[in-house]
Amino acid sequence: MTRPAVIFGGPSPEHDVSILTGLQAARALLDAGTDVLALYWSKTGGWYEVAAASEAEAFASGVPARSQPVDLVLGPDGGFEGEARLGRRRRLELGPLLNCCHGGPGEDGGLQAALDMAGLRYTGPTAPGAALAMDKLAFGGVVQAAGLPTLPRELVTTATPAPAFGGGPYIVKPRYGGSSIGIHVVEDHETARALVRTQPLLRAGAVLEPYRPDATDLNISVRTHPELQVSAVERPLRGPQGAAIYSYAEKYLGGEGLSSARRELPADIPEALEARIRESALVVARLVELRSVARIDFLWAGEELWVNEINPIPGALAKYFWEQAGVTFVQLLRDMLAEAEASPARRFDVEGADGSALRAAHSIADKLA
Amino acid sequence: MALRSFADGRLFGERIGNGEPRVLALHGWGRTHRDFADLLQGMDAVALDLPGFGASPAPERAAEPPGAAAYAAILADALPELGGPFVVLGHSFGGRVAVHLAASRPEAVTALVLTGVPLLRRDDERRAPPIGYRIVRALHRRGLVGDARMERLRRRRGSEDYRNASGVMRDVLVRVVNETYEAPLRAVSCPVELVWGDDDPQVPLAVAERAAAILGDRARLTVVPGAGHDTPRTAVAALRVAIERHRPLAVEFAT
Repeated sequence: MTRPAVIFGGPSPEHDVSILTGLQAARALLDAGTDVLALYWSKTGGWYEVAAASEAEAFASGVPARSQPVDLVLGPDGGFEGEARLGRRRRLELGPLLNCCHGGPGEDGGLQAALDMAGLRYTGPTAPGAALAMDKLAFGGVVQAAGLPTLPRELVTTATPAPAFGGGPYIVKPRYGGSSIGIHVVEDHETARALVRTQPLLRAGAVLEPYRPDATDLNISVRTHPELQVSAVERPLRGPQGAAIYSYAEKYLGGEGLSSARRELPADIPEALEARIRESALVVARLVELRSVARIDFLWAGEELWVNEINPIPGALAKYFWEQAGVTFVQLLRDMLAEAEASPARRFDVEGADGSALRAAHSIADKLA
Repeated sequence: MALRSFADGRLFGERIGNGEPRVLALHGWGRTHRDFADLLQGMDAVALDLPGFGASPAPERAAEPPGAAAYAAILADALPELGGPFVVLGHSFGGRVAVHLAASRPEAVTALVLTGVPLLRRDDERRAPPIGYRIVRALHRRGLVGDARMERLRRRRGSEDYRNASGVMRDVLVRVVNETYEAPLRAVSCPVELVWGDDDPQVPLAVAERAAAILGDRARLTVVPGAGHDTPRTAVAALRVAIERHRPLAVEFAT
């Protein structure tokens, strides 16, 4: 395999967490003897080649010292290019890219589309899969249409009427984006509308769901190579302050990202429930064209189980799920890279565009007439 | 647990308990209403996100950046909706606002409980900035030093709060750290509980002692041994006692 590259960062609220995921992945590969390049996507959208063995601290106030700016070039000869001597351009010879970007364009199909157009191979979701996974309204609708149970989820704007499914309290979430940033529990619909009017993170779109404090979070991971597999089920443990929702701080400010958060894995739950979660996770994986590794979050209350969300590029790449199943982090990464190497996420198809429609078209002016 | 909007979305906060709220809690700089989650358990209270923190939007940019008095005026506008009269609990920056609220709206405040509040300027803060900084600042004012360089210097010199603040909130911070509250303290007519950590590095106990001297017999100072600045979470018992001392009064006013 040509030298792979780990890509991380990106103009997203989860930029910092992505750096943690990326540096962990790069370090694990280096330590296991896999040479790897590290490409950092800055908060302002610039790309930099950085030392793969960097520490997180080096990124605390922006682009680290001694980083080499590189450009992502689209087109048939696309790829990453850096500056060489005498003002020449230098093409980075890259194998598959290990996409460690969380949130924003790195996880919502934007970067995926750019990499497709640059002819690069990458891990993680395809462009359409990522876009679907990161749109909570669309994802909920697709899951529901496939016959899986979900909590009612409605669009909320400054003008929407009270939700059809009943009264508060509700959870208000950004429609796009995958973390718990910007999530609020609100008493009533009026407060939800006021939040949508005043919170920058909700302005791009927001959804409203019933708040179910009685429900338990249950998460599972799915990976797709060497074969489609589901992990054991995890029950994340909530913070001591009776926090209303499993917050960003609880997830990430503990240390090495999600992998150090408190959890029960495997979760002590009835066997039949675990079987339902595993089956539903496989259906969801197919619905969103899942690739590499993802985390699917469920809510459980008594007899009821709901598909909640999917995280197509989960924090720390869900490594703790797979370590528990006997798959080392480096093996997980190598499987992801092998899959990406063998199959580009997307090929463009020009079959049928053989010129016959053009030859039969006569003049454009005629078409306008 | 659940947010609620007040004043047409200018303020957000949480109502604790099912009764008429009798305690109003105001958090410190860079914090949110959630600081009071443990402290207010079992009380009928409102804990607000002050403008620019948590869910509450920052105040409008004005010719004069808003200070603690302007913050108190925003709360005063929301009083009909918030309820009260209240025992107002103010931590740190929230206490600056609480003092102004009590001075300007005495009928709405039955007692103040202030903890870790920079009420009075400390002598060691009155020093002018170093000469080098003042020179660059003067040159910047005359357009001889660029904004980027001035910003770098400000960031180097500024506190962590300053570095983390942006836009109008940075103007608010600069304004309030230079404010002193002797005048509103003298105007306060309700009882004032000062609950202080004796190990508060940001607002030392001496500040509370000087404030107590100004307030005279309206003040009661409770020193919490070993507590630092984060008293809403580390001096819960002492703060609850201070609140409880005045809560029955609030009920009498209401009936």
